[in-house]
Amino acid sequence: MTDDILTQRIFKMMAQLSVVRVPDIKMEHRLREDLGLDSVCSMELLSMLAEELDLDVPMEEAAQVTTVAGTVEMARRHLALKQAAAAS
Amino acid sequence: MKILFVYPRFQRHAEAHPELKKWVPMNEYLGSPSLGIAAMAAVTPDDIQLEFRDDRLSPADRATDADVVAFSFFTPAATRAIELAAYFRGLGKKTIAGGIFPTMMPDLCEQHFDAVVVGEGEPIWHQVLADVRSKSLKPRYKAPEIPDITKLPMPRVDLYLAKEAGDFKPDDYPVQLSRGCPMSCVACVLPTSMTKSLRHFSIDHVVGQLEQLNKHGKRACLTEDTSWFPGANAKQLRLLFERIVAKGAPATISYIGISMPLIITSTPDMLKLAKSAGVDMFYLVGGFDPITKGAFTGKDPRNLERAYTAIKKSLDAGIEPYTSFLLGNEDDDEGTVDRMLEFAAKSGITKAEFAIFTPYPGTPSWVKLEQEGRIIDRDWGHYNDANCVFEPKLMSAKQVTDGYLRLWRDFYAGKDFSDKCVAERTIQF
Repeated sequence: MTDDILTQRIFKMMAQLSVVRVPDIKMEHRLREDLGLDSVCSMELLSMLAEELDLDVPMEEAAQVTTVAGTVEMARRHLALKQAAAAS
Repeated sequence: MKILFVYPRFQRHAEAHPELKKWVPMNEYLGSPSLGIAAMAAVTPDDIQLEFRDDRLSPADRATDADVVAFSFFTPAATRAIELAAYFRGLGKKTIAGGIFPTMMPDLCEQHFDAVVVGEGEPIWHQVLADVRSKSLKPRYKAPEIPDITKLPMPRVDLYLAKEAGDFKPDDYPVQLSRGCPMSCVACVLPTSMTKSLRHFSIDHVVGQLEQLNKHGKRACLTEDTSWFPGANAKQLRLLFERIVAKGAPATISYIGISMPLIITSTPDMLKLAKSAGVDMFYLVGGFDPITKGAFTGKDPRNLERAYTAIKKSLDAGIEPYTSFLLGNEDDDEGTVDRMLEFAAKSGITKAEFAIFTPYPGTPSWVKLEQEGRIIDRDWGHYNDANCVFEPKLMSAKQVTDGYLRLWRDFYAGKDFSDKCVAERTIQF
């Protein structure tokens, strides 16, 4: 999956949970303050990442992420780990 | 050498407020002890003789030929544990305290017991026993590392099963899926008592625990909602459900703990799988999570809507949401009782329990309320969710207690006392 496609998929997930629409979501947005995603929404987002991208992100790690860019980076890192595990 | 393990008794809701027996249809259910003693017995060498006394069933302060008496207790049982320790020390016995309360209040416990084990005890237990043998018991023990729980043996639940007699025949016993939690919920002690590192037992271990109970005709209660956390945790739970379904043993789980955010984040597919694995009831714990902390304040329509969604999702999956409501959170006011009752009626909840917010030692709320000088009762026996031991923010302590009683009374008003299904487990604690 290319970075652009991954980013767009994550934006779509965020838009489902936020009042902000996909075209208006920016990488520098903060999840809580700018997108209005509270802790329950963050958990829902993590659930979506698990379901739609088959990513097993630990709660400890997800709890540290506070921005859109951080979320994309976390997903990218876990996708790479998954691909590396599959290749080995 | 011989060890006497003691599980001290504690005051239950219907003991604190006998009027509940008039208002609530109930077959008063006395459940199994928590797993602490079974876990420590499992790592006790075979050459040491064991005895177990459940002080809830018959008073534990009786003569013993044991060399040492080991107590495992949480806050509501602390007053009684201290009383029992004095009795056994009077007999010349060495006493050891472990469990949640001693872990959170070791300085206090050191005054009453010969030794205190802080945190998860398995890695240090052999050292404690060696020191008992050599008569060099130290006042405090703490394992240098948290245990690798994948290497732990099965808990010795047989010690508990052997105590069944008369009316005391629990139909289920606790099974652990994991230990620790990365969250920081204000009312929960778990991240402090078992660290923030969420560790899983292996699926084989969990299935082994289920099979151990199955052999005795018992079911398992899985009380940890951490197992539903999205990602790796839910995957582990899914594997467990799949194993149960594959084994064709759908009647092994009596209930499983969950909270509303985790119902919301669970997929319908996962809930369906839970149902297929024999999960007919959720123990739906409220008052810790952002949904139930906001839903009944009258100021948070978003979380009220989410609360309705969570109950509907549970009912749609065919899983009864046995809901635990907590009164006395910082934003709860005099209208909260009516809002909870209205929600319970409209959402279709048929069975519920009600509790008073309690700042258990070691929780973030305990630290906060201590700093603010709002702890008004230090009788540990009152820390049982049935007494208001702190000064609430928007209500008086009396209003909270009266509200808690009204919740029980009004929720069960008109419910059929002769219906065994309604009466089952209405008051578990």
